[in-house]
Amino acid sequence: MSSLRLTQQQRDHLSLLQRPASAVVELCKSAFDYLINGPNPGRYEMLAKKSADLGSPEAVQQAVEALISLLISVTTRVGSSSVDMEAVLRQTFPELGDDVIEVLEQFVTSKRNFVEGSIKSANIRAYRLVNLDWRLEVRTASRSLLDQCQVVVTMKLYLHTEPKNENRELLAVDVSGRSEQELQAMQEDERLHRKDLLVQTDVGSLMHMIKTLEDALAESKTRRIRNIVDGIH
Amino acid sequence: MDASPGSSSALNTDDEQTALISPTVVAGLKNLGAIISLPLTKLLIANSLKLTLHPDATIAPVPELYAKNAACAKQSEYAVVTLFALGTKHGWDGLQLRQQLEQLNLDAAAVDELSRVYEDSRKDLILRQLQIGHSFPHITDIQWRIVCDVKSSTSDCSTGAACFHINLGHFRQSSGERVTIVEFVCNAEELQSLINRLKEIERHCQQMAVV
Repeated sequence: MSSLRLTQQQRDHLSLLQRPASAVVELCKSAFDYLINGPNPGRYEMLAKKSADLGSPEAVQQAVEALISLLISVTTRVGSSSVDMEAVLRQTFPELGDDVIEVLEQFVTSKRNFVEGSIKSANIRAYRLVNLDWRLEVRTASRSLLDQCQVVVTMKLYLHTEPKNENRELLAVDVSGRSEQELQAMQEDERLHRKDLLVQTDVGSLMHMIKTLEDALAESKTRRIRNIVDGIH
Repeated sequence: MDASPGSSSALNTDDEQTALISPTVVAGLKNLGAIISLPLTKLLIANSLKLTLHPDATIAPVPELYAKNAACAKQSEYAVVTLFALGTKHGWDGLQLRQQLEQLNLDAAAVDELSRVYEDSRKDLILRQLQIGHSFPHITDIQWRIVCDVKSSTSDCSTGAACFHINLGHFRQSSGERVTIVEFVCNAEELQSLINRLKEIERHCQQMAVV
């Protein structure tokens, strides 16, 4: 496995890693925090004050973002978990000491799963079915036919394009106590990524749907499909 | 337009139902077997029925129908379509339709033909009118494909899991053409949970049927 391809700008930002492993651990912790809570300027200011050679708070933030970029590159380029991560990192950063490389390896391997799902399915985001509500109805009359009795299953399909389960759960957050701006951003997200659809079907078609979907699921479990998927992976 | 037959029937016992038929329709029906000859009347009724049941169907042109009294022929077509639609809407059988027509003093042969055609096509007319009006997209067909990614613009390696593309749709009644209603993807667990949800609906339907 060759070294990772990083831009000169990324390398410049990562030059802050050339320090004792304990200081690099602090940067990695800030990167963890960034992944979950987003940027935290107060924290970077504190880090910059604590150790003068880290430079300005902006430089700390750039280093944190470069670490996340490194995490994404590793997840994108290194497919199998059996790859020797330490060797890849050592080839990428020959100037770093063994203890720093060890910290970096722990950082990228522990957080790889966190970004893996999002990255691999992020390019073409099709709608995913998130939830389904249903109601059994009987249509008893309409303008064109006054006397009728038609059993109808009405369903509401909740679809959105967020590929990861964890992220979808994050979307279903409590809106109370949020600022106007946050609510607006959430509405925008909803407009772009969510779709709720009302459809109906009859009992016969419903049974046909169940049978067809069961066929699909059974087919996916056949040895042939498993072999192909394993072969590709 | 001659409106007198409609107003005279207001005294009848079936006045409420007869009042459903407007004077324009009554005038159109009176043309049948009168201004329009009986063979042409039969043709006109058959064409009107065909248009009602299959609005997209191509009907062979009948120039002689419109050669003389084109306006009368058009009005009669409108009258036949309206009569059948009203009869179907109110659930009349062939006999009830005949009774309605007999009160309008129409040509006897035309009444026979209208009643016969209506009785013969009643089921189709009901099915046709069931489809008219507003309803949510009705799913009657489901398509699936299993897909596994190999490589992508954002990742050099496969996700290592097959995913399902599910397409729900229906077929157009007239042309048989398939129309997609919605398409989405899901993994094996999500598909299993969808199947479970649909089975839950089916179970509830069966329970209701027993009750």
